[in-house]
This record gives sequence, structure tokens and C-alpha cells, in this order.
Amino acid sequence: MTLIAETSHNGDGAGSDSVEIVGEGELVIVADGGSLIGVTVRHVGTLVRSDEAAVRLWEHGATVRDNTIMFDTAHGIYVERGGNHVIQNNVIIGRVERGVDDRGNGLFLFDTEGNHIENNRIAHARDGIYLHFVAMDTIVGNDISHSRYGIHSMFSSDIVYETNRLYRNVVGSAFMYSKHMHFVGNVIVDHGGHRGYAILLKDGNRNRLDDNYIVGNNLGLFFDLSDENEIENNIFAANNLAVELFSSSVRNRIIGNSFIGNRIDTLLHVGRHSTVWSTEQAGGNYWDTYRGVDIDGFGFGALPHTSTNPFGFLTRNNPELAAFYLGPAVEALAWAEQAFPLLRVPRVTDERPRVQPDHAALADMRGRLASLIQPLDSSVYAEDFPASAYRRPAGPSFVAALGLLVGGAAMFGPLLRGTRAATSSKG
Amino acid sequence: MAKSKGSRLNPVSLGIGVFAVAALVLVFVALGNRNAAEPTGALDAGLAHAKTAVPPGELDDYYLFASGGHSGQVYVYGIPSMRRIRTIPVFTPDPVHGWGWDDESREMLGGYTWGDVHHVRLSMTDGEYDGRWLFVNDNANNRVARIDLDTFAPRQILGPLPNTMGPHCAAFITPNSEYLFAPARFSAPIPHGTYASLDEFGDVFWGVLSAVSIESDTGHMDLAWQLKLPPWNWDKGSVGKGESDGWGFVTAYNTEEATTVLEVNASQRDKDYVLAFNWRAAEQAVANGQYEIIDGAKVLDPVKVPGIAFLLPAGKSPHGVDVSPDGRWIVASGKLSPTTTVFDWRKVKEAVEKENFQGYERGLPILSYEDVRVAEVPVGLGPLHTDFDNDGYAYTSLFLESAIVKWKLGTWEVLDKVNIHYNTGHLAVAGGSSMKPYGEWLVTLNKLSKDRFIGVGPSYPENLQLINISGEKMELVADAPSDPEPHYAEIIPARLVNPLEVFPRERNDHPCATWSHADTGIERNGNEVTVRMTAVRSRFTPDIIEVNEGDHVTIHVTNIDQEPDITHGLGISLYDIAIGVDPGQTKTVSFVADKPGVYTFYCTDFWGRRRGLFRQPPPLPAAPLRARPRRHPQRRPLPRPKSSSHPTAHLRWPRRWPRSRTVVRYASARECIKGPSSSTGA
Repeated sequence: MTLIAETSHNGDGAGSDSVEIVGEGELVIVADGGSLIGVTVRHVGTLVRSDEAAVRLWEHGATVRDNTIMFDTAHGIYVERGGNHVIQNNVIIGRVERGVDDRGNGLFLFDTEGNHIENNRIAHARDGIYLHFVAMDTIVGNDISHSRYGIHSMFSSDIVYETNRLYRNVVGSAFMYSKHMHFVGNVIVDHGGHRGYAILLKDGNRNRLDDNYIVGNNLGLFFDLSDENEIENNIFAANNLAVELFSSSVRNRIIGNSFIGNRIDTLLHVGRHSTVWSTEQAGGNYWDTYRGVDIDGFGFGALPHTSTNPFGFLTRNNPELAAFYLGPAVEALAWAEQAFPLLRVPRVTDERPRVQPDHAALADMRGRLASLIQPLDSSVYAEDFPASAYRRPAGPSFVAALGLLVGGAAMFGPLLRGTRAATSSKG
Repeated sequence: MAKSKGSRLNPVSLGIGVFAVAALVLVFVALGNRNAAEPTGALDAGLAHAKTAVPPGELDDYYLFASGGHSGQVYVYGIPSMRRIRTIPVFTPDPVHGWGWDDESREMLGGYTWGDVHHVRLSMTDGEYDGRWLFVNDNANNRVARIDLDTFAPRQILGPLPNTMGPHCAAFITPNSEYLFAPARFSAPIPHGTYASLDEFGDVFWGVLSAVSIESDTGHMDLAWQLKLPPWNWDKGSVGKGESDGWGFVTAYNTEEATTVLEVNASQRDKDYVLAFNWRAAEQAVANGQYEIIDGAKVLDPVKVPGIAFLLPAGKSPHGVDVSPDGRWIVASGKLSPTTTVFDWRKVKEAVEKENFQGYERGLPILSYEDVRVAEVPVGLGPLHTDFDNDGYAYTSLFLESAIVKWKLGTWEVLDKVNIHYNTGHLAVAGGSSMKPYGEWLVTLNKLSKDRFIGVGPSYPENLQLINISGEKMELVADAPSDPEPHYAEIIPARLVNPLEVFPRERNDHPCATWSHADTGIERNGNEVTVRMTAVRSRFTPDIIEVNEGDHVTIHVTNIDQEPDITHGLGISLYDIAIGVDPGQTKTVSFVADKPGVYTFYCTDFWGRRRGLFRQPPPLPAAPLRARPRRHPQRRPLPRPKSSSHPTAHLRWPRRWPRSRTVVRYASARECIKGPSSSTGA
């Protein structure tokens, strides 16, 4: 069954109008002003990789909002070429009991531009939002969880991602051959396992990533072959490894960020690095491991910060070694290594480290984490939930734990630093 | 503990220093014991690299044969030293070996001056490498070639193959080297030479797979039959073995059949396919006459002959398809996925037997993904290729993460991951494509080296990285630069390869081979001049050749040295000729003497060069004769080699030098010439 909605197909806004599509059908909106509002669409199919969609948009200018779209092997909403659609306030849910690779994408944007995608709730999809040759879209305030890639961007440019929340996906976001994006104010939380990248840049050039909260991931930000990106004012907290840089990436600028409670802040692979970690005007980053003091009172440490754990590379894939390397031996080693640089491990040198994190941002982050939506009950198929269930704010325990950790670090960091300053001034 | 850089030595810092030294010792011990580490630190990498040391005078354990991409060559490395030992020219002329100038190699090249070697495949007996031949493809000009591993030189180039365009994943080979397969990555109208509009893409374009038979004794290749497949991009291939013997597998992308803006339109669909084809059934069908002849080839249409070709759905734009050593697991990777898919051969077979199809595409039955897939292994982002070791582990290259991941067959556990630098493509485990892997070493073929080597300008080398996989954890141990661009490699224990030390005289079946100075000479038959020449340290006999302008000159050179490593070369100045002759070998070069004057020829290899007196003749007139008429000696059509005690004694100026004549003048060595008079001169 394929429904072609030449004009609008609007429900009462409460999701009571419903469409069920069985097997190979699709609900196709041929736009030019067409709309789909307040409808429940349920796609029941069995063929994995059938490439169908519960809702498919053609041409330009459709409005799709306030719908509940449940899909299984098909995609949720498939925007095929054209563009300038508005996709807003939809709940797009895949079938939870299927393996993540056997579901469709939540929102599949293919060769399209100028769409506005806002406040959608996407869960249990393969890729939450998959962009393939997309340009000039705005993707704002969406909530994507329990999917494969939260955001998966290929060959897409000039996209604005703002205040989206990505959590508990296999990979938070991955950008390949993608440039000129503005990734701002997003929250990326709780991506674990060896594939747990919060943000992966591969051949991603000249992007701006500002004011994001990257918390509790295995790997916060990964660069390979990615040049001239500006990473500013983000908070990297409680990650296993906050930033990993291959020396294949050049002329990136990483300043004004706060590194708090990460097991390893930075991992630089052997090679020639050209990353800018501080400038005279803008200063550098806040590192909770920084040991220096602010002598002149302008907020910057008097001594440069160098990454204190030169052995991070040892523990990246061997966490069991962490107990040894995080002990006092590492302190001593770091000291010795600074005096006699035997290891030639490339390390971050931040000439103007900040002595305070961005407290306002931290407070905001705590609020944002607390408002994260409760993960869906994995034992129930999405259709058994009323749509409102997905919008219920609640604080899962891990968020609380993170809040404590981050808050604690922010509060006690300066105190500890004061103690250290006293000690060192004595010596 | 403050980390201030205070310069004063005080008890506290002294204590820290002592502690630091102790800790450093601990770390060194830990590093030494640790079998696998992320070799990100230079120290770590240095310690790991020590394991690749092959001291001077000692030999490597393995050969790595890497395709040379658009160099048209094959690169041979030793493992673990990663020393590049040899470059074997195949589709590209190479003066180092005289490849492309002597008549035989020139004919084999068929007028093409380059090729694109993507895949190398070692011959197998009972599913194990037998060290006899290496088969390679030419993705550009639709050819395949066989390199004999006794001489490490190409012995046959087959093609251009009819109907098949861009045989990218050729030449994957059956477990007993019965066939190699060459599917088309670039579908084209058939037969070649047919013009068609792209609007007709779905109608007259085909992705034809060639099955090339291999003679079991000689390795001689012939085009046996072809499969007419849909016009998709057939990308990578493997054959079944063990329980899946008799089948072949090929990935396809662009099942959208897009023809423009391919990077967009050829990757829209969420699924593509792995083709499973029963080559024994196809062979039988061809024997039964179920084919049509197109451009001289027997072409079998699997839509008309069911039971031969089936489609397995796979993730978008799949790259590698690799079959485990026992033949049961078929691993295919969608390029953009964070997982790799494992199909169970038994389930595939069952679905085929029960005809349990979910539909058809272009007339070919599609098996249900969920029926045949057994695992999505969470290997990591951007999996491309998988290879196998002898302990049931699989290794997958991750393009997106720039990493290699190790996982376990059967349990599908992911066990270890190591970063590489940068952009891995294929990877090779020793013996990994055979039924008997050797494990121990893995080489990843990285597309980019970026900052890994001292700069050589804006064109960078590629980077082959060696990884020790003998322990529980992988360990990156060496970088080795490579010219562009290895796409695929195979690794074989050195003991399985038995290269010749010299070409035994009794194996030289060249009709114009000449083994003694007395048999050398120059013969004329009309305007055909044949020179039979010997080369020996450090002399060509004859060492003067005098011909007339316009003569067709054929030179047969026999290297009568029988000691290892005494290769001779024959270069003729300004005639653009360079041939290479290994000990015991005879090579023939023929050309038209169209440049009047006096020209040197000399041994390009070490021996001639070393005997500078021989090789550096006194200045010779390069201008036409009339410029120096008085110096011409009496005409002597067939000068004989001088048996002079002085090496330059023969270098006399001719008294008379007709302007219409060309003299090819040798410097030192001697050459063998064959030509039109070879029948009489033998």
C-alpha cells in the first residue's frame, strides 16, 4: 500500500488520526505546501534494508509536525531530494527489540537542502539523523537516543546543529567529509564501549564546535584528517578520553574549553602537531589537573599547562593499567619526564591555561543533564507508549552521578589548587 | 607535589627524582612485558620496532606481495623487516629490468604503457599457498597477468578481456587454482566498442564477470567463460573454500544504477548486495552449451540459467567480502556502518536449496537477510576488509576510526583495537586468504602517510604498517613507505617460495640462444640484420654492429654468466632501448635503424659500469658521417669482435662511412641479436 498524499493530511493534533502501513507501503508527501500534522503513522514491515519509509517527502516545502511515527525496518521520515521542509515536534520511534542494525534511520536526509528540523524525539533507530549530501539545514533541539549513530553526516556542509541532545547511542555523532558546520550548545552524554565516540571528525574541515557539553563518553572528540576546526568553550567532563588528535589533523584551534574529571584529557599521536591550545588574547583552556596559580589576577595561570599524564596512550586501550598510571608514580614520572624528556610523547602545551572553569556553563549543563528524557523501557515496543511518555523529563541515576562529579570537581578544584599553591610557594 | 620547574635542587625534588627513576624502571619493565600497547608514544613504538629487526646478513621470514596500483607494478617486501626487496614491473615498462623493450615483454604489454594493479593473488593447491604463481589484475585495461615466482617476472598477460570493463577485484582464485575471476567494476555496453547513451544504462550495459581458467601445470591462462551480471559496480571478491568450495562471492555497489554524480546517486539505497555464484554449476552450464557468444567469449546469463547466482543483502556500499579459512563464515562490511556482517554459509546453502527467496532483482533471487546473517559484529566505524589468522580470530580494517580491530569468529567478541596512520584500506594477515593462515604478522595498507615520513614534496608516499598479531594484543611495530598505491597484499612464508638463483641453461629454450663467443655473429638477409650476441662479465660479443640506415635490426642477447646476481643490461644510446638479461637468459630486441650516425651501446648493469674503460668509449662522432668523411674506415658489413688484449683496441674509426648507414656501436658488453635471419643463424 502506498499512500500518496497530494495535499494535506491533517489530524486533530492529538495523534488520534492514524495510518497503518503494512509491508511495502509508504506514506508519500508530495510537497508544495503539503503537510502532515498530528497523525500517528505506524509502519509494519519485515524486510531489513527494504529502504522504505513510513513517511517520504518529495519536492519542497512540506510541513510535518506533531506526528508520532513508529517504524521498524523502514525509515521514519525520508527526505528524498528537494528541501525546505519543516519537520517539527515529531516522535519518531523504531522497534526496540530489533537489533540496531536491523532498524531504519529515524530521519533520513538524502541530497536535500534548507530543511528545518526541530524538537523531534528520535529513539531506537539505526541512525537517528542520517545526512547524505545535505546542505544548509538547521537541526535544533532534537533529542536522539538509543540509536546507532545519533547524527551521521556524510558529504554535508553548512549545517547548523544547535541544542540537540544525543545520549546512549552507539556513537554520538560522526561527521565525514563534512565541512562548515556550526555545532553549538549540544549535549552529548553517555556513549560507552570502544565505539563510544561523542564526536568523530574524519575529513571534517573548518567546522565550529562551540558551547557543547560532552559528558561521560568513552571518547569525547576524535580528529583524523580534519583541519582548521574551531573548538571553543565546550565542556569535556567525565569522559574516559576527552580529545584524541591524530597528527594528520592540522591547524585546529581548541581554546576556552573546560576539561573536568576526564580520565585522560588529551591523547596526541606521535607526529607533528599544529593545534592551537591558547592565544594571547583569548587565553587557553581550563584543566582541572593544572597545578599553577593565577598571579596577576586575570584568570590565567602563570605557568603553562602541559598534559600531566604522558602515559595516556598506555591506558587508552588498556584501562586495567590505569590504577598504576594514575598513582603517585605518574606524578613523579611526569616530573621526571618534564626534566628529561625521554619519551618524546607529544603533549598539549597550553600557554595560558584558565584557572576557573566556566561556572555559568557548568550550572547550565547540570540543568540540561537533569532534564534529559528518561530512557525508554527497552522491554516494550514503542507503540504501547503514549507519545507523552517520551516527553516526560526525569533524571536517570547516571545523570545525577555525573552532576555530582562535575559539580564536585568545579567546587573543589579551586580549593585544591589553593592548597597546592601554598605548598609550592613554600618550596 | 608541585610540578614547578624550579631549578634549585632541594631534598624534596631529589626525593621525587629518585622516586621517578624507580617508577621509570617500573614502566620500562611494564612496557617490556606488555605484549600490546598503543604505540602512540615514541618510546613504546621504539621498543615495538625492535621486534622487526632483521640483522644485516639475516633473512626475512615472509614475503609480502603488494599491488602497486596505477604504477602497474607489484612491490615485494620482506617481513618483519619491511625492507622493500623488489619491484616487479607488470603492466608498465621498467628499464630496470628492460621490461617493455625486448620483443617478448613489449608484445605482452600490447601497446599499453600503464596498468592499475589492484589485487594480487597467490596460487593455491588444496586451499593453501603453493608458491608457484602470483596473479594480478589491471583495473584500467581489463587484463590479468601471471608472475612466475621462480623468476619473479611476469610470464603472461591476458587481455584486454572482452566484455569485462574494470576488473577491479580480479584475480581472486579458486582453492586449487582452477580459475581466477574478474568481475567488472565499470559496467559498459557489450561488446566493447559499442556506443550507447547513458539513458540506456539498464538495457545495454552489463557488469560481466570473466572466469579465466588456469592450466595446472604451466599456469597458462585462458578466458573460459563469462557471467552476464547486472550493471552494478562489482567491487571485491573472494572464493568459497572448505564447505563453501565451488562458490564465489562478490560485493556490488551502485545497485541504484546511477550514471551521474555518482558519489551522491550511487549511494542512496540503504542496501546493496553480495553476489554468491556457483562456479561449478556455471562451468557445467557452459559445458552444456547454455551460453551465447559475445565478442568471442562464451557468455552465460544467470537469469536464464537458474541456480547459479544469488544475492545476499548487505549494508550500503559494501566493500570487502571475505571468507573464513574453514569456508563457513562470509564477512561483508558496509562501508558506513559501525558493524560488520557475518553470513553463515550453511544458512546460505539452506536458503538456496529451499529456494527461500524474499524477491528478485534484475531476475536474480534475493536471499532474506535475516535468514542468512548470523551476526553484526560491533567492530567499529567504517569497516572495510577482514582477514583471518590460524587461531580463529578475524581482523577488520576500520576506515573511519583509522584502526584495526581484532575479533573472534563464532563468539563475535571484539577483543582489541589498534590505531593506524592513516586511512587504512585493505589489510593482510600471513596466509589470511587461504585455508591455512600463518598468523603472526598483519600489514595494513594505509592510503595516507601525512606526517609519518620526512617530506618529499606535495606528493606523499603511502604507508604500510606492520602489526604483530602473535600475542593476545596487537602491536604496531613498523612503518614502511610505499609508492602509490597498494590496494591489496598477500603474505606467504619465504620457505614456500623457491626462486631461481640463475636461469639454468637447460631451461633456456630461446631459439637464438648463443652460448659461446664462436657462435656469435651478425647476419644479413636483405635489410634484415640479425645479431647473435653474448654478454658476460664484462663484455659483449660482438661489440661492434654496423648496419645500413633503414635496416631492421634484431639483437639476441644471451647472458652466458651462470653465477647468481650477474644480470646484464643492454642500453643503446638515443635509440631508446634498454633490455635486461638475467644469467642464463636470452632476450631479443628488434628495431629499425632509422638514425644514421654512431651510437654507443653498453651494459646498464653493474658489470659494464664497473669496467668503465669498456663502457665509456672514447668520444664518438654522433653526427652524420659526412661531417667526418676522412675518418671512415673501409666498409666492413659484419665486424667481428676483437680478441684484443686491450679493451678499447677495437674502437677504431671507420675509414669510410656511407651517409646512408647507421652504426650501432657498443661500448663494452656484447649482445645477442636475433632477427629475421634467426632461422638461418641458429
